[in-house]
Amino acid sequence: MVEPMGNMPVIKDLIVDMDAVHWQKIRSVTPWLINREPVPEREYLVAREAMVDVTQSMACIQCGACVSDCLAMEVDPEFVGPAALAKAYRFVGDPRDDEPFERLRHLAENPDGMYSCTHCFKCVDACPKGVNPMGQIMRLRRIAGDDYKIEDRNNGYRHEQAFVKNIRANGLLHEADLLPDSYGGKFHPRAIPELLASLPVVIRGLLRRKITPAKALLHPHKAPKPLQAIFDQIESEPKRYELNLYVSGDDKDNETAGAVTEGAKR
Amino acid sequence: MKVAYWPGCVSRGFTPELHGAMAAVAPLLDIDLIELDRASCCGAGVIAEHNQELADTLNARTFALAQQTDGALMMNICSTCQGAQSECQERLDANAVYREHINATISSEGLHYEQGVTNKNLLWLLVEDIGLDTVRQKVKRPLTNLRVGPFYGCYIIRPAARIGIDADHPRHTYLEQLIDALGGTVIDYAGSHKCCGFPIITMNKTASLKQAGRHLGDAVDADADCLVTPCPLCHLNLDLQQPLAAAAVGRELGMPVLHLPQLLGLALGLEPKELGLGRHIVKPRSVIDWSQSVVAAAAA
Repeated sequence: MVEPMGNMPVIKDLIVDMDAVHWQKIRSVTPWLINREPVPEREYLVAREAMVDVTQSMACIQCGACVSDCLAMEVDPEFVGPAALAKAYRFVGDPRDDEPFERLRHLAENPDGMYSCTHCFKCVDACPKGVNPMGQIMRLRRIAGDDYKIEDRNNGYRHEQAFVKNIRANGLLHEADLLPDSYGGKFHPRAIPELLASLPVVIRGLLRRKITPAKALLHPHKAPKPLQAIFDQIESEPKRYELNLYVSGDDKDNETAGAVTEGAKR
Repeated sequence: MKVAYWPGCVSRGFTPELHGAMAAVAPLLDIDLIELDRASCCGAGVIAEHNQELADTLNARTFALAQQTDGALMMNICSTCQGAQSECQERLDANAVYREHINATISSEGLHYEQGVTNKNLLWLLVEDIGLDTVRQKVKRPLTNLRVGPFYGCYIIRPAARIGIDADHPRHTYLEQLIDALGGTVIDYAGSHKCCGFPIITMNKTASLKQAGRHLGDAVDADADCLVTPCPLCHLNLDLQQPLAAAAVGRELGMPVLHLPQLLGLALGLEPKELGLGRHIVKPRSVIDWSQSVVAAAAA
């Protein structure tokens, strides 16, 4: 079936207004390099891997296919979207940029920013250039949360922290804790309206024996000690250790592969 | 067939009926489940978003535990586990230096991950290993006149290359094939391959519930009796949160959502109660009524 691109207003037949959506969103992420001070007399010297890494998002040809397919944008037209967020990573990941923190803070605090991506992989499959927009969004979140500890008002950071803490303690997800902890804890003023809004669902869950008070309040699972040791060991490393397949390639296509990129804690 | 069985977290948490239904269905399909009770959460993409090495280590540990059993392969019953684990496996299998780094961490437990574990969702196992012809032969109560809409969950169908979808493995069509093999009517509606919205329920609740509500509404409009999903996290947004999703889209929904082993169990002759159908937030009345009418017709 041939149809106009999605998530953009149709001008006529198959022609959509890319300016109204796609370009407007691209412009919203300050799509240019803000020189890191002091600007060197000659060129900036940067690690090769860091530049190879950002070439993945630089490969974007602005075709808008990811925007057209984005499932989050389908219900939330204000969502910044995959193309613009991949563009944002192109600068956040560039060691020559001076304002990665400001960029990240803006995207984290925006109610339709990086935490509105639903992780549906549609953009990954839609992209004809292998940009992997969703992968870039996950990187933005990782750097915002783990490097800059940006506590956003959308609960993105708190949710991630709550999830990790939950698994370290229980081994398996204990859902009854995750929801309140994502809002800052059971007794946090932010959590109370959310918990009240969920009350009808909780009551129905209890009536249907989907949730039992014992299961919700007690912690039937406990993470085994060696599992907790894995969390403690990896979390205490001074740098995140990451394999970026775009940079390192695969053993199959590259006999000398083995280069492992290290995520720089900033 | 013996499999190293990873039930995931939610099937033992807020969707306990899924774990029970799988246990009830397994013997009918000659699946011998060796439950990986020491394994941990797959991270559901959230741990990878926090620290990739941590997510990869947790899943390498799960794979290594599976490889210690004498199961033919590892099986899961959660689209999200499938996708999150496939993502970690892609990195672990791609690079020997990285794999050995991760193996060094899990070696304190005497564990070692060997490249190339086979990890399949129940849906894939049914189609690719047991075979739909075998499933068809085991059907005792064909789902005649039951109108079922498939709901996959993103993680089990995208990205297509990582998930292993190709001409020989059209895994994005397996639910339709299975519903058909069980004798049901496949309902084609807009949301079947879309996102339930669950991952952003705490970050952008309105958008999350609108996604769930829209797909459920599309299924109502297509006159489905129920949906079926291989993903318990989708089930949380589609069933547990359905009253809130209905409010978010401003319409009545009342669409029952079945877990894959529940639909399978019904066709294999099990009773709705044994399959935990009474534990859903949206009572699957249409499905229960259907099964009672089938029993009545058989008795007549």
